[in-house]
Amino acid sequence: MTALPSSSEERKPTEMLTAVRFTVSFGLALVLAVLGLALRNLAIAALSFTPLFYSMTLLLSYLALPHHEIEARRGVDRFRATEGEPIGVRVSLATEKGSYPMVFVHDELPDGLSCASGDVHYQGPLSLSQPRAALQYTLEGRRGVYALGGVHALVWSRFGLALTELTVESPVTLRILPASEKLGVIPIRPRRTRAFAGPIRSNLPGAGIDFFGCRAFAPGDDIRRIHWRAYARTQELVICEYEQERITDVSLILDARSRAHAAIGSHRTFEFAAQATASLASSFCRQGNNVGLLIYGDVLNWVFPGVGRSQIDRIHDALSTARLANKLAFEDLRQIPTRLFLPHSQLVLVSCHLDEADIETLALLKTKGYSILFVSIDTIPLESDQLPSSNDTALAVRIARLRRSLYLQSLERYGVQVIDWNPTAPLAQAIERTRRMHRRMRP
Amino acid sequence: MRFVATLLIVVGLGTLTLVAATQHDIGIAVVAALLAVAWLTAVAWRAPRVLHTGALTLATSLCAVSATLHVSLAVVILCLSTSLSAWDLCLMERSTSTHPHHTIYRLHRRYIRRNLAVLGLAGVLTAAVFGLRLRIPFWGAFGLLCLCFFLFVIVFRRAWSLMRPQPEAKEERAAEPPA
Repeated sequence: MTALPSSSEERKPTEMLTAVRFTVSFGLALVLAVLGLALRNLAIAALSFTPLFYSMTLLLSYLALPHHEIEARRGVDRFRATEGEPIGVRVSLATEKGSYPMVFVHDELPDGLSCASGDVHYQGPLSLSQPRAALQYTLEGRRGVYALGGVHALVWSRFGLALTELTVESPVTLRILPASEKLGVIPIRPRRTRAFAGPIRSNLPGAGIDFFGCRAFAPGDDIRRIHWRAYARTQELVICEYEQERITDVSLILDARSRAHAAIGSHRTFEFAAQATASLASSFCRQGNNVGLLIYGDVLNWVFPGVGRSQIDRIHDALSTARLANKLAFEDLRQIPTRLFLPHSQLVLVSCHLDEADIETLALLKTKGYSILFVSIDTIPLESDQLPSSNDTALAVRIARLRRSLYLQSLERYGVQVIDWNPTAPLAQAIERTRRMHRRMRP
Repeated sequence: MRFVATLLIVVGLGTLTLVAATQHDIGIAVVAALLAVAWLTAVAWRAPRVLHTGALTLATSLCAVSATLHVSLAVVILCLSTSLSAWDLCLMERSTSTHPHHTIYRLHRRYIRRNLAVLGLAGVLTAAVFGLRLRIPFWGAFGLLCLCFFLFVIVFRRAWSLMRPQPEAKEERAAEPPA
């Protein structure tokens, strides 16, 4: 558990409320007293005793209000967590100079975070005999970056009616990363690979597993690779060649344009896209590839390509702050900054819906030599769940499916590899299905 | 707190309405009833503080008028005490309404007990003062009036300077270098 030392205390103007209460009651007492004495009416003058007694009690209780320091330390068991993963939080409160007969402490959580277990409130004494109190709870949240600010404390006077409110600063920043799943081998085939060994077939002969071709023996070739059956048939030495497997450059593009996503009931397709991008980034990085990320839609949010565990963290951090945007400059994919991508590298686009202009842009990128994998989020199952089951709904779903298959086929005609992902099922399943289809179609 | 405030308004202004009606002070009864309805609506709608303060001012004025029209002083004191108590509870309820009610229940209960005790005692004291049946000559009343006024001004200024946030403290805080 990491403890963050912070105990700067700020007195909030809750005293203003006490001042207002005092002013009003005291003013009423003054008016009644003046009126009673001016009219020489003892009944009215006597009435002034009620507000006067109240205001004096308020003043005395305000003066009796303790003004000691409260120290709060907030500790969290982790600063980064994925969606659905609990974060343990412990806030310890302490006073060493004086006592508070009754405090109410409330740790306010920002929108998007919720208390999964435990209690974010404490009410009770904070005295010299019991100088410490603690709030202990676990948090869960949606993807995002959250700043936990101060702990609010309402302090009540030992005597009378005054109260004061303190905000004890104890800042902690939590990062909730998109949930990601473990994926198998993703079927990509970029034109250019890097020099290091990896899992991507490079379309080059050399050491590998998959058969690539045969050629005549040349001096210096490894004799273990001689095709002896061919030699027996033709009396000429023939060498078997295998396809090299290397790492490659992968640029992930998360489509963050508002018009490319939808909100269906409580589901946001952008959240699915962010989760898919996180899963793909983890998978590509674990295979040793050089992976970069472009979040297309808001500002030019680009994570420079890199390898390894730290690159996964960088990409997940960028995804945790990704949000939908509606910028005219990034209205269609035509403005995509291709200079960021290495020539002939692999592009992986994650989106929900592309229009005609976007499909043309992908075709253009394909002609420039990029290999493109498009992860398309299928919203039809989510939408059909929201509709009452009837013949009309079934017909509408069927028409939507036909339209979608036409749209995906038009992409495939341009040579774009498509993963059709139903977000109610795991992404790994959709990738496995695509891989199997790919293997079947391979000559 | 709102429930107790509602109860106090109903008891205070309701009693005044009934007593005024039985004493044939129809004007007082009607105004008290209308004020009670308006204030209860304000409490139900969680109206801003200024409306509650306005209602309290009207209730106090009504009490003063009732006292001059010889409505039973015990009833007037009850009405004034309950109005003041209800106003206080409404203001406190608003200031703590950011916290969930179930979490702050104990504090509310504690505050309600104190509020009722203080204003009950205030009512008893007022009745006791009135029970003295003092008779004051004109110049005595005038002198007492001036004394009261100056005492009020002194206490008010002193209390206000204690309660408002100190500008020096703010400046000091602003001058501190960021951590």
